[in-house]
Amino acid sequence: MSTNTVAVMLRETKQDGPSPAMRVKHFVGDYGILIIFAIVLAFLSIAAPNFLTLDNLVNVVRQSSIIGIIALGMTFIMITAGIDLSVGSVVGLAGMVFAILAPSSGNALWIPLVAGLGVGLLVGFLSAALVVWGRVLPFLATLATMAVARTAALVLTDGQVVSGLSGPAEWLGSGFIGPIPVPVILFIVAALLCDFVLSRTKFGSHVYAIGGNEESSKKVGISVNRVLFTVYLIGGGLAAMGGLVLTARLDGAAPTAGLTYELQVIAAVVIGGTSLFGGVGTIRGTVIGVLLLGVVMNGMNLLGVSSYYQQGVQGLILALAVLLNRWKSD
Amino acid sequence: MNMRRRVSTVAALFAASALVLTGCSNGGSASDDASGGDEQYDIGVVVLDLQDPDLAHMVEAMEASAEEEGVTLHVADSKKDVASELNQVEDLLTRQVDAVIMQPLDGEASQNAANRVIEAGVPLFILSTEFADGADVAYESYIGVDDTLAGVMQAEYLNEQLPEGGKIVFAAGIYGASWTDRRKSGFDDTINDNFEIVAEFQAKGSRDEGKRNMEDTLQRFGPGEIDAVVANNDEMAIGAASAIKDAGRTGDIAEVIGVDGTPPAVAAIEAGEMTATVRQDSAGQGEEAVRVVHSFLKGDTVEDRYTLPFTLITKENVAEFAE
Repeated sequence: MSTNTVAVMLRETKQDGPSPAMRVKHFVGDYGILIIFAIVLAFLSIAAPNFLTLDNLVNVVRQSSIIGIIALGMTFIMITAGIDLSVGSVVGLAGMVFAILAPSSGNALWIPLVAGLGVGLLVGFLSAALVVWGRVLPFLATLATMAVARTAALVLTDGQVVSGLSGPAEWLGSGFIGPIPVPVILFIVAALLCDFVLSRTKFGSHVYAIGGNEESSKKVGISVNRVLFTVYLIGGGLAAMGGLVLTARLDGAAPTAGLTYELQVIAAVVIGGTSLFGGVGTIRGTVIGVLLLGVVMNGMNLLGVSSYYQQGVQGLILALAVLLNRWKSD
Repeated sequence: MNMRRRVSTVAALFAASALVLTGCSNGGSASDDASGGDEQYDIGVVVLDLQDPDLAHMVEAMEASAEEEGVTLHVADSKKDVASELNQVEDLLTRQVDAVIMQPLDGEASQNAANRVIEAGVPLFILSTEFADGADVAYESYIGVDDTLAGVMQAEYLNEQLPEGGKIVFAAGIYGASWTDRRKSGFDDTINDNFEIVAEFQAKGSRDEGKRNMEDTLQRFGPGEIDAVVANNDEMAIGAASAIKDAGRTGDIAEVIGVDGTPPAVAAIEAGEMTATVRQDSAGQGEEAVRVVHSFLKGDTVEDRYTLPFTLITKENVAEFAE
């Protein structure tokens, strides 16, 4: 498994005569989250008799795929040193638009799909407009769009739940292609695409450059505004996609759907090694962060751990991952 | 701070003068009005969460009822936040409403806001959620249900349906919230000893969390190891039912029970995915509250408590509730 380029650069600049202690540190720094993931998997395989079954593993990945799809977009945004708090509200709004249009439009599934993704892109555009043109901090800009999108979801149905989708719409959340659930396939395809864009394209390298240093990126001729607009559009679009899958999976949309998703998504991305200060992060790391959180939640349910402790354990993992990242970059 | 105070003073003055003006015009029109006698009353309503579909529905019913009764409602949303609840109450008092209908957010913490109404000399009515035992709030009447009864009815239903008992998975709402605690304690106190709760999770009232937790629970317990799923509300029960359906175990788990009687839950009972729910008639409570307050303002005496019953909805009577 390769690490991200920035981490490698950091490592090489610091490496004059690597002592064994330094080597251990680098190894743990680079692979720490994978090691934690492996330990958790090993522990659950022994402790929870139903954990290591094909059925349960499919279940975990399917559950994680919605947060996962959203986390991919968040990774782009956070590498530019931004953040998007609106994703949970976008899940609610896009899901609501999808649910309203899905049963009435019969076979033309593309109408609710396009409309749902469209509102996600619109919210992403608004966030980007505030950040780029309004020069508002991403945290505040997306706090505003978070409130606006949630309000829109509530106003659309006067706070009511919309339940019951057409068969093809439901397939998006509950269907299978071969043995693999549709949400998992969407997650895998989106992750591969995002990984390619981020690690192999000029745009991807610009995303890292802006997060590393926005001013010098401008000086070397990177169109910073265009890149920022693009990452918030990617974030809004993928959050909307998560909302459509969630709505399809639940066969209905609640205006409060996706509440606090932004926190879970940000936690997963940070656990995956992306820095809140920008310039650092990978899609692979994010995927591992998402799966780690998903596996931990599933494992606690299998072990019958009380709900009281579940959030606390998530918090512990987050703290551990952040400490690991800090230690690595020191 | 200073600026804000000045603004609010101006706003209060403005509101006061507006009231004087409308008062005058009302007085004028009242003498012209042949049917006459009816004064125009303004009733403030503080709802705990307008984002909740059931409460949104309740407010709609209250507004319709207010129109019939010829009173004006000013609806405020405390957004599940005690500080915001107090602000909303103070704003309503500033607007000099004739009475306040309040749905307390918290059995303890909301007493402060309630007493603010009473100190201002405005009659207070409590809707659908109750204060904790030993509360010192001199309200005029309580209109609503006792959430404990919903849990009691779920348990009585199970005791009757599964006389042999069985293994229960319990989907709790939000620990510490009065609706969850009361419904849960009513259930726990009433379910007989033949039953055992083998797993309990907190799904915060949402379909999403209900489904996710139930999927894991189905991995933990194989076919024949769960007899019933009991949820503190319908959205969680629907989520659990959907997980059971996806796993192809609908017939295997005999009972899936919720509370609220929302339209999607009624549809799920019709489809055989859920087996029962207990309907709290929120709309009925809201309408009743508006009527009680109006008759109080007209000078009639009112009772201390108006409790409305829950209704058990099962396959047998579900057709009556389908829209």
